Order: sequence, then structure tokens, then C-alpha cells
Amino acid sequence: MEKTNPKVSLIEIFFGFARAGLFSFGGAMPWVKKLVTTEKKWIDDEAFAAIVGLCQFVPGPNATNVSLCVGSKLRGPMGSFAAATGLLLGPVVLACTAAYFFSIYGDLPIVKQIAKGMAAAGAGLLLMTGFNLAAKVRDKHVWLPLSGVVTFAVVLGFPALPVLTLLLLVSLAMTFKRWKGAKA
Amino acid sequence: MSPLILFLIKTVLLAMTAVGGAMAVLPDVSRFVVHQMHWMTAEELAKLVTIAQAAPGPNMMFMPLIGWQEFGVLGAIAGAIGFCLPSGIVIAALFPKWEAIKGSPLKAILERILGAMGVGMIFAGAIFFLKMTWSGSLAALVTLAVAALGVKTKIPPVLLIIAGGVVGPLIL
Repeated sequence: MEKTNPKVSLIEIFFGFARAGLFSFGGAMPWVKKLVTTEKKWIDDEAFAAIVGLCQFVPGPNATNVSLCVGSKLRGPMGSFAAATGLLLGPVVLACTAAYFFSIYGDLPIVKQIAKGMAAAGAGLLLMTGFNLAAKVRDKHVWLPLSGVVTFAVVLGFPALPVLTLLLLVSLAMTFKRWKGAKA
Repeated sequence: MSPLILFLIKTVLLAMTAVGGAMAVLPDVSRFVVHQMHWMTAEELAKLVTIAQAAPGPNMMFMPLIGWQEFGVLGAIAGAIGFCLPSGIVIAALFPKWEAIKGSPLKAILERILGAMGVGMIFAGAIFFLKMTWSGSLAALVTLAVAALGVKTKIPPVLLIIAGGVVGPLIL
């Protein structure tokens, strides 16, 4: 997909992502998607899905990675910077303010109970994200076991990087025939 | 080495293993912040992570929060930049090249592997967060209810979090 629109301004990128960031309760991705595909029509749905897919693979915060990719596509490295800074600035200020209030009022029993409830809901949202993404995995019977091994190892306490590296090499070795030399 | 610099470096290193997002490295973050550096208790970390979850913005927000709690504004900036920097550089440099590769079987396999690992990491992070914030089986029911509602319905996440906050004082 080639860019058919004229260069998008860095200011527009920054403020667009800033708005998305401030609305993104419980997860930024849906808002980023709305901004990029529906509102500004910077990228179409299919290309956006491909970017999200890729960003699953790049270590690092997901929604931020997506904003970096979209910014890069629009205006190169400066675009990446504008998008990510926009996405993060509001939330950082808000989160620090919330943490500050928690540190003052955090010992009140009612606040503790509210926090417990929100934490429980937050854990539920994380599980939801996991299920939604697991649903999108192709050839589940082949690949979800790999997910299971990763979860198992990390929950048991093995450090992530060696586990992931080892599993990556093992997986590449096991699928050798599927990618070795074949001219696709 | 100044603790702030240590924090920045550790944040960058953690980001490099965060396949599947920030929650995926929560176990490692906890090991560092609570057990190694003794900057806060596990409960305090859990609070920050909950805020990061509930407040608008990506979930990685707990890294700037840890930095802010420990070092003030500089820490918040270190947490944010440190966590986004590795992927920022990788993406700025490699994304255009990755996009240009078409029809490579190795690329296709890598996408499958990394995608599957990302899913695994997200569940690991979810389980760890659950253990960290565990407050009994009633709370676990709330978690399951939210997960089910989140998957099956179109209820926005923010409402689910608010519902959790409302339900908390009532039944927890």
C-alpha cells in the first residue's frame, strides 16, 4: 500500500495519538486502531492488522510499538517519535497523579477495597487479551502448545530471555523443513 | 552506579525480553524491584501495576510509575523512554525492511513462532499479576467474570474496571 495522502504533519500525529492515549482505559490498542484506520484513515484495516501482528513479535510494549510503526510509515523516525510521545505523555502524567493520590489516601479501607476490585478486574482483562490473541493463532494445534510451554516455564520462574531464545531455536529446528531453502 | 542509571539500564534490558507486552515481564520486574533493590513491597508494586492497568494508556505505564515513585520525574521519564527505546530503535531501523520482505517461508515461520510465544507471555503475565494481587476466591470470581464478559461481549474495558472498583467494597 503506497502512501497516497500528502505528508501528515508531525503535530497531527502527536495530537492524534495523544487523544488515543488519554482514552485508552485498560488497553490502548482499540483506540489506536480507531484513530489510525477509522478517523484519520492513515492506514487501512488489513495493513493495520499486519502491523499489530508484527508488533506482537517485537519485544516491548505492544500499543507503543504499533504507534511507532504507524508513525514510521507516515513520517519516518520523527513520526515514530511524535506518535509514541503523544501516546505516552498524557497517561504518564495521569498515572503519576493517580499514584500520588493513592499514596495519600491508599490506607483508607474503602480505597483498599476499590483497589482490590480494580485489580481483580484488571487481571480479568489480561486473561481476556490472552484469549483474544490465542483465538487468532493459526494452526492452533501446532502453535498453542508452544504458548503453553512458554507460560509454564515463565510461571515456574525461569527467566524469560533464555527461555524464549531456547524455544525459538528449538522451534526453528523443528520446523526446518518448512523454511529451509524453499523458494516460496 | 547511580540507582537511577541502574533502573534505566534494567528497564531497557527488560523491554528487550517483553515479547507480548509489558505484563509479560512482570515476574522479572518484581524480582528486580522487590527482591533485589528492595524499593517497595510486592503489595506496593501490585498497586502501581493496577493503576497502570486501570488508568488510560498502555499497560507498560507501571514502569514509569516505578521510576516516579523511586526517583520522581526523572524516574518516570527513564521508565518510559527505557522501556520504549529498544523497540523504538528496532522498529525505526528494521520495520521498513521487514515490510519489504514478501513471500519468505522463514519470515512466515518466525511470525508463527513469535506470535505463539507472545500469547504464552501474556498468559504468564496475567497469572503472575493474579498471584501478586490475589485477594481470595471471591476476587477470583470477579476476574473470571470480567474475562468472560470481555471476551464474549463488547463491554468497554473501562466499564469493566469501574465495575470492579464498585464491586470491591461490596463483596471483597
